[in-house]
Amino acid sequence: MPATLEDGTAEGETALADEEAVLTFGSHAFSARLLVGSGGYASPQVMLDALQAAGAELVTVSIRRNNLDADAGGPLSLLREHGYRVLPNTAGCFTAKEAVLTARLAREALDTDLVKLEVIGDDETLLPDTEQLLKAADELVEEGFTVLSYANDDPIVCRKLARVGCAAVMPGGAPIGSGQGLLNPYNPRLIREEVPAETPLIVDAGIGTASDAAQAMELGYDGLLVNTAISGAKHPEKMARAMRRATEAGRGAFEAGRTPRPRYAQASSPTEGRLTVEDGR
Amino acid sequence: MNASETADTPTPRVTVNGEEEHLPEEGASVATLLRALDVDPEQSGLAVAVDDHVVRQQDWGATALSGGERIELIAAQQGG
Repeated sequence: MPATLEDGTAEGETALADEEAVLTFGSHAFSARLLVGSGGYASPQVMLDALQAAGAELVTVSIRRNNLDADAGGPLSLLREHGYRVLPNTAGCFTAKEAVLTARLAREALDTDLVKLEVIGDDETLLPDTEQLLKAADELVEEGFTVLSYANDDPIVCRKLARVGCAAVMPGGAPIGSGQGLLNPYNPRLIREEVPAETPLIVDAGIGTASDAAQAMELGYDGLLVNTAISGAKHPEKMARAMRRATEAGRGAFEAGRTPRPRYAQASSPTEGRLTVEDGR
Repeated sequence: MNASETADTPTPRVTVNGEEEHLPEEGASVATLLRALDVDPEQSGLAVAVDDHVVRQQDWGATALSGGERIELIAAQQGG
């Protein structure tokens, strides 16, 4: 979504070229690396302002029993009216069977083969049940879904998810909604090494502020999925813009290749030709 | 709501999103049941599963319910 940046720079000056696909899930291409969740905003307008500031193209929604007493519509028509593409999730599913049925219902309701797969083990940690997750991923890929799988920050599980054909693997940096950042950066780094480059890696869950976003992207991740850090910020629109810039900055730093970290100081000025003055001591 | 509150003879029951409902008539279709629940079966963004099997929207009018089925009616909501 086009956005005029706060400092007056035009769209595209700080972002990657608008039409350039930087993230591809199966047959779905995107020019933004920051995926944003639609949950927890104070109002639909706050959400729309944040999504625009984030430069989001793909926005997650949940699949829930339709409230028979409520007006139909929900966020779907609003998001589509504003040009966003939607990524239904299977949040709240505890078994592969529940997740597969939820994905099938989402495909029917939203007319998309994209699904953010979540199969959790309990309501306290919201951490994945990896046994059920792998089973569901395998089944959904077989059925032709484009599966973006939430996962533990476990290199082996992430590698398996890539091998069964997930279109993206999305390890959490910290528990969902905790905003604690990358609690163990060692694992996301290993995951980047273990998962083949052709499978996009997204950090999903745990990003709390802009520096977390930049840190994740500097590890070579292809994108981020952020919800609570934006919707729960005092100023969601400002945080969304900060996240966008941090995502782009982190990616830029990764692509640039950081300078080595020598143990001792390395002078950046030439050592030859220095003045020497006797001070008489 | 109970779709057959005014009926003389109770019609077979189904569960819709975990709530028990009477069918509006014997052999009612999914579409007829939804209308009785004030849900427009023509609207986009909905999906239905009957006994854990998705029924495509174009088939709602032709899918008869006999009673005892578990029906899930879903829509997109906000979420991450």
